[in-house]
Amino acid sequence: MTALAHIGSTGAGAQTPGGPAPEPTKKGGITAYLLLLPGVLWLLVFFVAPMAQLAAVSLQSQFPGYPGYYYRDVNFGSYVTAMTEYLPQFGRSLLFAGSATLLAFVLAYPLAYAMAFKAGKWRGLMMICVIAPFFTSFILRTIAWRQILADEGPVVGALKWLHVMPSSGRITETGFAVVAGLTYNFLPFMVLPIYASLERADPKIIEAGGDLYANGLTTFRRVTLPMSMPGVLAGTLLTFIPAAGDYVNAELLGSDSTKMVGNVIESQFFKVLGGFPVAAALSFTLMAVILALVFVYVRRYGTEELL
Amino acid sequence: MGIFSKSSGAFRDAKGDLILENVTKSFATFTAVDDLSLTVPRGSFFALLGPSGCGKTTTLRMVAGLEQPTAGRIKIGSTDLTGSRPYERPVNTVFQSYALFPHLTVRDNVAFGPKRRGSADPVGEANTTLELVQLSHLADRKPTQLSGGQQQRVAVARALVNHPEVLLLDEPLGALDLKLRREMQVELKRIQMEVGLTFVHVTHDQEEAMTMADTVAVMNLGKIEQMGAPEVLYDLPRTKFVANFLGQSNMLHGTVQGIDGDFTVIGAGDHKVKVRTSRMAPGEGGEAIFGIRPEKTRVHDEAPSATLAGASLGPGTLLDVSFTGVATQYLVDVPGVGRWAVYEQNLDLDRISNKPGDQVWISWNPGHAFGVRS
Amino acid sequence: MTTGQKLRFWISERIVMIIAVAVLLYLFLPVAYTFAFSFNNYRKSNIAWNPEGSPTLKHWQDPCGVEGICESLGTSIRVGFIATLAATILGTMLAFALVRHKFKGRGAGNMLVFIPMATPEIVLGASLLTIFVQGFTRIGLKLGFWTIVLAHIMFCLSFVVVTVKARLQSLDPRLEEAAEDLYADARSTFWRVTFPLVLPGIVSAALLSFSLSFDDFIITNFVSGNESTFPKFVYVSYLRGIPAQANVIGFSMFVIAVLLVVVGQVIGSRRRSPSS
Repeated sequence: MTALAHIGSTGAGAQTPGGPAPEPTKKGGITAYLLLLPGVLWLLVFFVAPMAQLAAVSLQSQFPGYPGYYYRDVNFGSYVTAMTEYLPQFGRSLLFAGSATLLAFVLAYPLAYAMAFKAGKWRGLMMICVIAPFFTSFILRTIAWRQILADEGPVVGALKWLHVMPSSGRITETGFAVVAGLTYNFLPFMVLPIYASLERADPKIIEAGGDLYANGLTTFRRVTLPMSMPGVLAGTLLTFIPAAGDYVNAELLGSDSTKMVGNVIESQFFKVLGGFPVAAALSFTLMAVILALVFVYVRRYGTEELL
Repeated sequence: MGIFSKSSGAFRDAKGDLILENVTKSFATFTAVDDLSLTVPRGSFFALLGPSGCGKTTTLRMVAGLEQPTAGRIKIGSTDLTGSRPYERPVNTVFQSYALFPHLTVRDNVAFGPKRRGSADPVGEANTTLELVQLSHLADRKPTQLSGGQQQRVAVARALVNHPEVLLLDEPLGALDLKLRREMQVELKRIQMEVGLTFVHVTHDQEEAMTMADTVAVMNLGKIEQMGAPEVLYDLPRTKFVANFLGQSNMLHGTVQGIDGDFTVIGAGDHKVKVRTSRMAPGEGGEAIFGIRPEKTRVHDEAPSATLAGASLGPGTLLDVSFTGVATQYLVDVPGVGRWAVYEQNLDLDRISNKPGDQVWISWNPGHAFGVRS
Repeated sequence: MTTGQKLRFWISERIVMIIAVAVLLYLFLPVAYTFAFSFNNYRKSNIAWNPEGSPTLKHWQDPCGVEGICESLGTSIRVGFIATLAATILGTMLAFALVRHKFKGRGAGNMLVFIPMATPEIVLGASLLTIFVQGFTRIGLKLGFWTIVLAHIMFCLSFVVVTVKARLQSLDPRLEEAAEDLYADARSTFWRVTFPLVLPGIVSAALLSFSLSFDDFIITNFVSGNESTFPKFVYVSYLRGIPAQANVIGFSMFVIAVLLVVVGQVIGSRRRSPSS
């Protein structure tokens, strides 16, 4: 949980100076419940109840011969349909999201590292540069990528000119373009938490690591990386989760053969008559898979402070 | 409103000695303070000394009102403060690591208390107190822009400005380096003399406690082991813990073997040592521990004469010799007794000739020895 | 050292910084494209550059010149404000309860806040659409502006809680004890010490919340009915060709945000530096 807090806590001041002090937890009392009530109520009505409703829908059965009309039931048929017909899209979602997360990590780490230890007075400016692109709508930026990667665009042109790519080759409408788009869109979510945890680390410890191991790579593996692990963990979650559920990149940069589970859910909801139960079943399966992955992942790599 | 302000006003007007009566504080798994009773005379500088976890900070927090005792009473003079809130008490604290408000300037930090008390001129009071701690020139800064020593003074000023009946200091010098710590010790002592308030100082630094306080109470495991003037405590510790916590002591565990005039004889194996009976801690049983301070002993190359019987030990093996400038420290292993330390002041002109491995004897003036019960 | 060695040394000293700058350029490339194409004198679709008549300022002179674009921008801003205000208040209260109070079900409370963040937006959108259509329409709530607001408050809430919680946890509890020791009762301790110190956390939570709401497309697309927000406008018009006015507005938002951040940083650093 504090893993995700990294994104918000970047640059927080007023830290405890003399080491940790006991948490001043007040006992129960009516104040606690009054403070909790509105927020919890909100989450119950607009998160828990919709989820329950979605679960109910995913178990509904259709009136035979009346597409779009269902009755309440406990029918796992939609789950069977979801898992048999849309398995490729499901696998693709996890594969694309996983690849994008890995790529984002590779790109984000040097940037976060440079911001934390090398940037000096440029640190603030670099921070702004990481956040700023956020404010141009992500749909606009994704469309810009479509233009950049287009068949007549500069990237394809250059690659063809260099004969790296055959003259019939293209980037858009491929899985590569989708992964590139996902990587791009969620990169700041990877940079910020890693930066936050590196910034907290004492550069002297890394220097000491350099003394002990001499080899830069070993220092990184034994000292720097473990110290930034909470940030890496938060960053990978913040990248992987939205990437796995995304459909905008696949829609704008891909083709029919690169559809992800998000595209299926969206089209089942909006374009297929009677698609609600299957879409609901797909949503639930996606959420279950992601939550399972998250818990395994956090257990495996996280410290106690995480969940 | 009426009842509330009246009662809190009554707490705030309390004057007199600080009295703890049978105070106990238990947490879920342990007892931090165990049936503690003590009286701190008004206007004195009192130190609570002990290792971490001995209950001294808990005691302080109970006096401040930040914790409530599980049992017992806390009073100032005849006013019972037990159960009242921290803001109702005429008690202020200088916190460990200072706890200065980072969003307020130094002046506003100091004026915080006077403002809350509804003083007519909080800023004026703050300025006066900042003068006392010689920080007027930094009044407009934020605490984070000050050095450790300056922050410490602000913390003291912030508490003092309220003229509390009792000022509590929770390891206030712990975060400072040695040189600054010594300066601040003198400074705090000066301020205490000047304002004449009761200071209760919590520390684990025995030297700090002895330098500053009129009365030192040594705490261990939630109880006070011994209380008194620093020089008395040092000269005549009544428990093994005090003997070792307040300075260093050479010890010999043995049994009482008889009386020889004014002295009690304690024996262990072949060794016999004597302690003035008046310097034996009262207690039952034959078991006793003999103690002598290292700086009260000397080393010899030859067996001491018979006149020193009961005030010497040996032979032992010299393990280590270290020259520290003003003194030379010897570490001697005496078979059947253990390792003893000897500090000899370097008064002689001749060079130290002893080397590790040499056979040596130790002697002392028997009047300096003390005995504690195990 | 030979020139080659010198060059190699120079590069190895700065390799991390070089990669970092390259990654930053990569982050900015689409923004630059968006900016460039706001001057495109395009004919049918603003995908390819039209050398004839470009660059042109006509889209910048008339940013609202396309039907619906400024209305959708207005909707986005209004949704953002309302959702941010509500989520910040509710989230701050939750954060205080979760950090400062011990009560039965604290673990469950933390979980309830965490799971929405670990849920993909599409699932949130789908579930909200389901309950809005099947449940809330019975009490007269139609898909549109308010359903967007309700949904945005929900997903911003968790991020506010996490941000404020982090700030609260890093707050030294001795500061509040010191206030109480200095004659402040519970109420003035809160308003004079706790709240001012947590405020920066609340402000960054609100900023985060606004930018999440403003840029959200997936959940909005599910629950908006016929109402259009700016991201939805762009997405929908993509199919028939995005007007260059979208680029104008998108890039302007970027400039405004950067200016706000810079001004905020300058004020912040000035406040922190010595005043005398």
